[in-house]
Amino acid sequence: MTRALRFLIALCIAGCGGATLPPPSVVSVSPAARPASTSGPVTLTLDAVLPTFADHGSSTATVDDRMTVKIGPRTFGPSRWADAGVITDFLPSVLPEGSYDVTLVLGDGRLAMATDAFRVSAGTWPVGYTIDTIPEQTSGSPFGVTLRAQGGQDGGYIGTVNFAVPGASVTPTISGPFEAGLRVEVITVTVSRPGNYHLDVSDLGGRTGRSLDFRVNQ
Amino acid sequence: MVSAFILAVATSAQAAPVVEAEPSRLVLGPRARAEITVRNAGPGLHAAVSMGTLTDAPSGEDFKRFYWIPPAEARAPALVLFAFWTGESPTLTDVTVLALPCSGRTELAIETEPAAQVTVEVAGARFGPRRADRQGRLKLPVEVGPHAHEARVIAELADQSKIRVIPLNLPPSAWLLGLTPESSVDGAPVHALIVVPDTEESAGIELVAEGAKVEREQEAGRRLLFRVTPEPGRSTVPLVARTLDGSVRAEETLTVVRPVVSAAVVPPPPPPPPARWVLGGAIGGYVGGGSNAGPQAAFIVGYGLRNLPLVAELEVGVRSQSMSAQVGTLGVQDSSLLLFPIELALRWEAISAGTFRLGIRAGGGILPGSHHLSSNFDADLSEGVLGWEVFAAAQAGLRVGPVEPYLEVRPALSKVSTSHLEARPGGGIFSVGVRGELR
Repeated sequence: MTRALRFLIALCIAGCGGATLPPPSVVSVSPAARPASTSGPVTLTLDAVLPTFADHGSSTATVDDRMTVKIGPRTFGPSRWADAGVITDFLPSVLPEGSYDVTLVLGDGRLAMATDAFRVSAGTWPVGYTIDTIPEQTSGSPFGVTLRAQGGQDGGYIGTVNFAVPGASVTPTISGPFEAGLRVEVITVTVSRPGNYHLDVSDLGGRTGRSLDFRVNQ
Repeated sequence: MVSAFILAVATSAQAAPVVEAEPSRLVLGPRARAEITVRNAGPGLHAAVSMGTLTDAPSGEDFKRFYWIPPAEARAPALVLFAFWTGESPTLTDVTVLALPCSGRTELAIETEPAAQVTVEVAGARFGPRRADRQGRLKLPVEVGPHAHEARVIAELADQSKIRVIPLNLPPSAWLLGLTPESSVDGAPVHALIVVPDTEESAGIELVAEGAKVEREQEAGRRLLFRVTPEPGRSTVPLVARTLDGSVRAEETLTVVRPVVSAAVVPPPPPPPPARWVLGGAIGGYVGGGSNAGPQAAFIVGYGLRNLPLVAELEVGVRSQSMSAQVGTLGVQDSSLLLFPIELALRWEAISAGTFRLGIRAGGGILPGSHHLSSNFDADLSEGVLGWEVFAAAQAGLRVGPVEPYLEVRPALSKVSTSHLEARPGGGIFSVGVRGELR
């Protein structure tokens, strides 16, 4: 009888306010390591019990699916839980050599951190970049640019570069991945006044490239 | 000593009683009394008399004895009739009638020749002689029986005698009017027996009742048997036996008694129940709205209170309910709830008519259990829960030998709530159960 009473009391303590949800976890990172000069998709497998409320009277369930995932300092993946916790996103070559924590923060504040789960090794960088001639453009209108990496690793550069247009703004600020040293990127340059501008590219290793001036009209 | 005067009628299959009186005749007066002995009488002997009072006297195993005492004021000659029978529905052949002649003592005033020697003869009995005075007047005490019609006065003087006849006008003797049974139960018919003495000179016999139907059933000489049926609502029925010229010879009043309805109709209350243990089980389901629905079962242990139609019960049960819901583009969320109610109840055995039972229950308790969340997009979660419930219920059952199958309808207010769940696993609970008592 005493045992049953204890069980009931324990059950009450555990059950009256509802169970405390377990912390989430980062199950795996794939790939878990890569050179700094490469980019590509990274897949994180996450495990979590999302904050859920089941109302049997209305036969409905509400789930708080908000989350934030970071690899090192960089935000990674969507802002809401998806695909049963298997998150795949493109990671540009923006992380220097080193080890990075993978962190997951759910909507109710629960946190999972996989320490040094993603390692970045020293990469093989190109010696420089050339940009094909850019014709006259209109501010705010996307246009394509062709980037070429000079030298570098076998098979060509597969990393990314950063964009900058002095005196104007450009999107995106990071390119997509090069393939065999070549990247055709669609960018948008927005200027405050018409004039001649040039596009600068740079990588994490300090190599750069600059286009010829091109006119951007309003 | 004169032999007993017995007027026994022809016997039937059931022998009529044999009756004798001692003395067989008597003279009315302050000390007049007779013993009436009845033999060959079965149980349920009834007696009736046309005049005076019959009282029980010391009796033996094979005879029943009565004392008969005439009315204190009775002095006139009369033929007193007695009737005896057994049972409530006699025929005339079952009735034994005895006639007891009772004489009256009086002074006969005679006027005859002076100094004559006078003798009086009344019904064969001689009184005197006594001498008249010088005026020829004389008062002579005589005893006159009920059958006397005249007195012969014989006056003797010297060598001559004169006989004169004086008619005697005697009052008629009372008739016997008896009822069997003596009263009517709720208006049921009774028998009225009339016996007319052979001294009666008026013609005709009739029985008149006020507020009753009178039917002549049987007649044998001067004895008649009537059937008297009181009219509805009558409490008494005056009866008069009379001649056709309207001279009343006997009166009686029939009383109609009403049975005590409450004692006859209302069955005795059932004995108060003893202390007893009650074991039972029930299965069924519940509907509380939305996904608050599912199967349920319970095991009940009860203790019936001594002398009270109340049973304190402990109920341990199980209930289950679940739901599935689509959550946006995430997937399907499942939620299942398993409860083990532990409740205390008081059951009132309100109605017990034959094998039918109707009970009212009320109680409440806790609903411990577990809640399980699962989906196709995140990890599972199990949590303990503890809810509560209060309820009232009605039960209808049939007693079948040692067990009692029953149906229960239970409106219940219940709630189980956590930060992940809101459920009301009650509402309407319907059960089919069976229970038995251990004493």
